[in-house]
Amino acid sequence: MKYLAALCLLFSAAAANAARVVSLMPSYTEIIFALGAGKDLVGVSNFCDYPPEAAKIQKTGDYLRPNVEKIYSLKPDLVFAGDWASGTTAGQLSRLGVKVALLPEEKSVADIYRTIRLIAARLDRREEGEKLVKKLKASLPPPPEGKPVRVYIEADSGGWTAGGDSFLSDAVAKAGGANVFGKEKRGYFQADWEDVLLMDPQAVILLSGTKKDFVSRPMAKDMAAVRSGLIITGLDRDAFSRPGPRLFGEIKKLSGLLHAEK
Amino acid sequence: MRKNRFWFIPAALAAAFLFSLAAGPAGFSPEIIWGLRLPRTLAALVVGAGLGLAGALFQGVLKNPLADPYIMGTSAGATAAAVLCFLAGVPRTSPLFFLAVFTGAFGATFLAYWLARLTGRLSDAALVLAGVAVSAFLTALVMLSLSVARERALSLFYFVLGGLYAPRSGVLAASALLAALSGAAALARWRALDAMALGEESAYHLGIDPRRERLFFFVLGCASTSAAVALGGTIGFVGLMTPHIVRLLSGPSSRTLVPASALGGAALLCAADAAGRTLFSPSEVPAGVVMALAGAPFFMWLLWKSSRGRA
Repeated sequence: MKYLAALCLLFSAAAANAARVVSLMPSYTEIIFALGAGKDLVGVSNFCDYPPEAAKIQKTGDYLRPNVEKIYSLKPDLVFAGDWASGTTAGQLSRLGVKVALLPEEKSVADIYRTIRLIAARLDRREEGEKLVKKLKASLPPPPEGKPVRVYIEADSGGWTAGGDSFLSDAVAKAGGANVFGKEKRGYFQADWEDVLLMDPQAVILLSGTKKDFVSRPMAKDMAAVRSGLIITGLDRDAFSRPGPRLFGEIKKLSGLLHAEK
Repeated sequence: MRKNRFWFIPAALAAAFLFSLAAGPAGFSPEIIWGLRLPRTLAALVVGAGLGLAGALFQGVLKNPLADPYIMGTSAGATAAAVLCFLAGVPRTSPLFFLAVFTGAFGATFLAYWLARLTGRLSDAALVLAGVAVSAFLTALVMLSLSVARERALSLFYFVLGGLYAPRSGVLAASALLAALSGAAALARWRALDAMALGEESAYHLGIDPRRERLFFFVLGCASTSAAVALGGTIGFVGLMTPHIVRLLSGPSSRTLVPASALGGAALLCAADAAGRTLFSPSEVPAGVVMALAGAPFFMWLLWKSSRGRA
């Protein structure tokens, strides 16, 4: 009987220690797993599919308008949400007594370190956070020499691209490229095809669509990137478009592709 | 015999209300029912009632079975005005916001009516065509605002899509008041509305000034549409479907048709919203999408029926 009581105490203590965490962004989910806190996750957004274990966690809807009731029913101690949720979702959750950590949007690679540190601090894993940041910094390719390669990023068909206010633009710079729309002081926008042609990029990163389709667009054949054949389709779309740990591997890959021929 | 079946409508409303309060992944937690589901359910009731009422008024006063705030451009006018208010930074709870939304709704409705009237006799099809033309232009204005607005584009997009995600209590109260006042004013003049439903010429012979009554009921229909749009964005087909359905239960007189349409619209949208929340949970389908899925085939059926009636 005594043993049983002791055992119960032990379990309840362990249960009290383990946090119940919900992540509303795929990148937060990946960071939480990288910090070794994946088992604390009790809910993730519908888009959280990496690492594979994340796919098995309960889903809480899309991240623009998550299912507040579902999140509540998971009884989380802490919910990680992006800035966009600051209005309705976060308000509803805090009125229901759920703690929400709102994380600012990442607009550069350095902002990703900031997000990692913020998440690590809230999960009481500062040391793991510092270790992860250090590891990621070390994994970046050495700063490139010479003039950076002019790069056009197409995140989605229809000319959706990244401006200077995005971590994608910075990721390209870290790989030794220069985003042709880097001077645009905004995040993501739809670029006019004529503008793309005028910029005459030396390399194109396609995150969706095929090389064949791109090359057959009107007047594409005179573009520097098409002439040199530097149309990059080999990047992992999810890894490259989420501000998480996997982005760094893609930066390295991109750096290799951009400077292979020189 | 028909009047006896009126109780169907409050019964359906009660069923939809309870379904909406009960449906959700968190079970029967009082906190959730009180804090999340009740505000949302009330919003669905107000928006549905406003649209159902507007549909009954437009269909009655124009003697047109296809009239509806969505098809006539009223909703598009209200939405365009609301989006412009967002961009101008007018808060959603201010009287100015409601005034602007009403002005948009009324302007669009009158423009559509005037265009339809240009052909001489007001035909059902002409009104639909004019409504499509007015809606198309106003929707283009909304799309333009969406592509220009950078930061708030997403919340605007969801407003335009139509839905009841997280309604705000201030807007809810103001919309409920506006819809209730429109309903009461319409009910007070049910005889005039009945006379108008016989056609303008008959109404004139019954001693009613058709022009004045038309204006009066247009104002009320636009006011209740504005209440609905301010709260729930653009949601179509509630105003079109509800009067046709409830007429079978309430009979054709405006005295019962007007309250029946308000109650029926509330029940319809409440059920649509609850269904949208549960169907693909945890993702939700906006109530506007659910209504369009159900309402567009209904519209086709109405068109088919009215073409056969004429042949």
